[in-house]
Amino acid sequence: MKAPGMSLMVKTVSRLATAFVLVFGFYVLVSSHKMPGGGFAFGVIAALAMMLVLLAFGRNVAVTFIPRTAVAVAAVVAVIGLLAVGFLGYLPAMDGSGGAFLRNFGDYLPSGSPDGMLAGGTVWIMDFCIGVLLGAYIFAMLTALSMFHSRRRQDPTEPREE
Amino acid sequence: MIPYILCLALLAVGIYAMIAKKNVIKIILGLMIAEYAVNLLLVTVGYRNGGHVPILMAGETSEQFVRGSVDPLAQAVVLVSMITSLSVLLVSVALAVRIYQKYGTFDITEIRKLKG
Amino acid sequence: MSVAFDLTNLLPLFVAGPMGVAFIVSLVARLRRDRVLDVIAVVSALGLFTLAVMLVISGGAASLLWVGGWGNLSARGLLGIALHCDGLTRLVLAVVNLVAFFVAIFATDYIKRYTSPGLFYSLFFLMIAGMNGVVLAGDLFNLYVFLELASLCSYSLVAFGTRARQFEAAFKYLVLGSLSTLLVLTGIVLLYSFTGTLNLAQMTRELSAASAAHGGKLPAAAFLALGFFLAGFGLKSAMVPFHAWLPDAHPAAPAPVSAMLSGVLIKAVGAYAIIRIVFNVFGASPAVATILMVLGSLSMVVGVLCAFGQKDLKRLLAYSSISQMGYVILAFGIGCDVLARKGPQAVAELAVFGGLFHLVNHATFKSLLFLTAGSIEHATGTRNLDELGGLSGRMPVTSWCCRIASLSISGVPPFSGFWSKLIIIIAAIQAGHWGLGVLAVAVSLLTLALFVKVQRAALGGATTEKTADAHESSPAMAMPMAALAAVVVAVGLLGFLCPPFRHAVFDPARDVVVRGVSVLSDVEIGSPK
Repeated sequence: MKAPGMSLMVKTVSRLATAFVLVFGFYVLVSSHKMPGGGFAFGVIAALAMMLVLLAFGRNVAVTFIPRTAVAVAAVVAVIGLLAVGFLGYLPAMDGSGGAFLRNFGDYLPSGSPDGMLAGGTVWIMDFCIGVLLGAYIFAMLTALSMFHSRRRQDPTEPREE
Repeated sequence: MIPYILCLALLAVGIYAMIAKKNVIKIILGLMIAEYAVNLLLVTVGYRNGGHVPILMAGETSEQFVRGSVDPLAQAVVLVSMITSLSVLLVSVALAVRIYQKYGTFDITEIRKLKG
Repeated sequence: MSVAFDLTNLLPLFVAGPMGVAFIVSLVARLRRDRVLDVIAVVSALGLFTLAVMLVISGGAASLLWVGGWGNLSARGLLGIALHCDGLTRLVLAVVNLVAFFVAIFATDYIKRYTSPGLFYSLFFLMIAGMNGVVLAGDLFNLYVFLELASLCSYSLVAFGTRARQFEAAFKYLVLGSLSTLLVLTGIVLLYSFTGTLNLAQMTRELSAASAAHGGKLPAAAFLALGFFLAGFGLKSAMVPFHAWLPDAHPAAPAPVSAMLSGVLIKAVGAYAIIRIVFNVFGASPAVATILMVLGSLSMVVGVLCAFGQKDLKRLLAYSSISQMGYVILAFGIGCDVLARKGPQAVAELAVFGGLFHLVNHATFKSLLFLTAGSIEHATGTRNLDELGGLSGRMPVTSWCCRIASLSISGVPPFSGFWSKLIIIIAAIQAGHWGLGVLAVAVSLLTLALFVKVQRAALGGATTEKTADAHESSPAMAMPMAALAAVVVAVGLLGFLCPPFRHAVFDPARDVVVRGVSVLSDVEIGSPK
């Protein structure tokens, strides 16, 4: 029986390329809040890397690499992280003024250098969460749709449900 | 003016496909064309002749940025509206697949269990 | 500054709360403890409802909240997430979360017939987040995003039963719903290119300045945008030329979802958005008033006439939703007409009050009717009126709730629908629209006949083979229905007969609509800190 997925060449190349694509996505992510890019772009790039695996090795292999539960948990954790950033904003600011939802509580965080990753208070945390959420979301979407691919349609001779 | 009219023409093409086509997949494609048309219109609205990318260049003051760049807000809005149209595409494709499983056809004239 | 008790500071919770619950529920669902899910859902819906009630009680002037103080960072543009809160917002928020609370209790038992309650609650709470977001949004783009969120969840929820008819209905709903959000987005783009801002308050100022420069008339570009908005939101609120999706989509959904869709979704994302944009952003104009009155009266008549031919109980209710929403839009059309003609303020106030009152009443009694239909379907397995009969003896709570809601919707005194329809009719006559008043009376009589037919077919008569062994639904389903019936009666009586209640709940909302553009152009945009 033929192995699932595409030819050996495609598999080898995609195995090599996936890591580079992920590293590039990560570069886009960590420099996101000051440069072009950001969580959205990271999410899409990461999902494309996973899609390479999906296309080259077939759905079953991709799903064992990246289990669906892990994807779901990652998405939920990312959203909870976003909301946590929002709710932590209710902490009163260091200077005593009142807190509010989604307030940038960067005054509690190490400030870092203006060019470094930590500048910008809470922005990079939110960007990171958005990136993880979007990557998980697009990958879940691709696997969910590829699930239909293998399933034949119902036999037309059998009685259709009302 | 012509870019705006072309965008609205593209929108009309998409809406025509949504309304007049009989195939579920073609309807979804029409929907996507129409959404791209609106996004294009949004980018066109935010464009300015000779403007540079909306990124604060090194050594640029915010005054110079405001005078020199294209509208960043329109581009941010397009980014979000692309995500929503992606979600709509996902839901509609999933529904189309399930409809094909249930009815065995993509032709909406044959998908008619609901009447009245 | 008493930060802890400043309720406007808690406004983001209306969106963030249900959104967080939606994702937490999807995680908890993996534990396969359905009871835990039910408790989380009901408690969080109760929390939202309590917050909304507190917001209504606290009152206060219109205000703009920059979420997290991110807004207005540059002097030139207003960027950041703006939430707008005024009387109208508070009223609609209270209605949305009231109905959502009762529906969540009802769903705990009803949803057991489907396989994945976790998914249901996720979509349900995301839909609530979307609706709350639409109502609170202080800028047009957030309004669009939340509109799309609420709509997407409703498409998925319509298909929740995963049967052929449901997919078909959901696809039809998705295509027309996406078309409507598309038109709304086009309108937003046109307005953005015209005014250079997305913020509602600033946009209103720009539009007022532009119309003052044009001698009191809105410029053509703004009218084009308004046309797109009316078509888009008209499609969302199922006004008659755009109503084709509603009679398929609402019956196909599970009963709690039908109650949410017909009860609040078409109001929060349809009628509310129309009111906000027509009255507060553009200001009343004669052309729009005519459009609203024509759409309203068409919906009223066509909805009720189509309802007569229906055998499916939920489909009949869906058509009657179109008809009742027609009343709401008609009332606002009359109010808009009076305001545009600079007529007597009192008449406009009466018409707008009638519209808001009917909106609230319809939200309560229509969701109650859909819940009773769900209860009947749960007990007998059918919604076909020909196969039903003799339920009044077998299902006393459901029958009484159905009777109360039917009496309300058909305008029998002293139930809630009577008062709101009476006010709309009086306002129509005082505004000089005798024909519309007569039409409203006629449609009300037709509605009465329609619901007498429903009562006789479903509740009265002899039991049939399907209903012979029907029995009352479980307390988890009967209790929210009874409570909602009490709310229907109480709101009807209090809203008309108890002035303090009316002053506290309806008058702030009415004033927002009647004051028109000045609400948004007077609101203090403020600085972040």
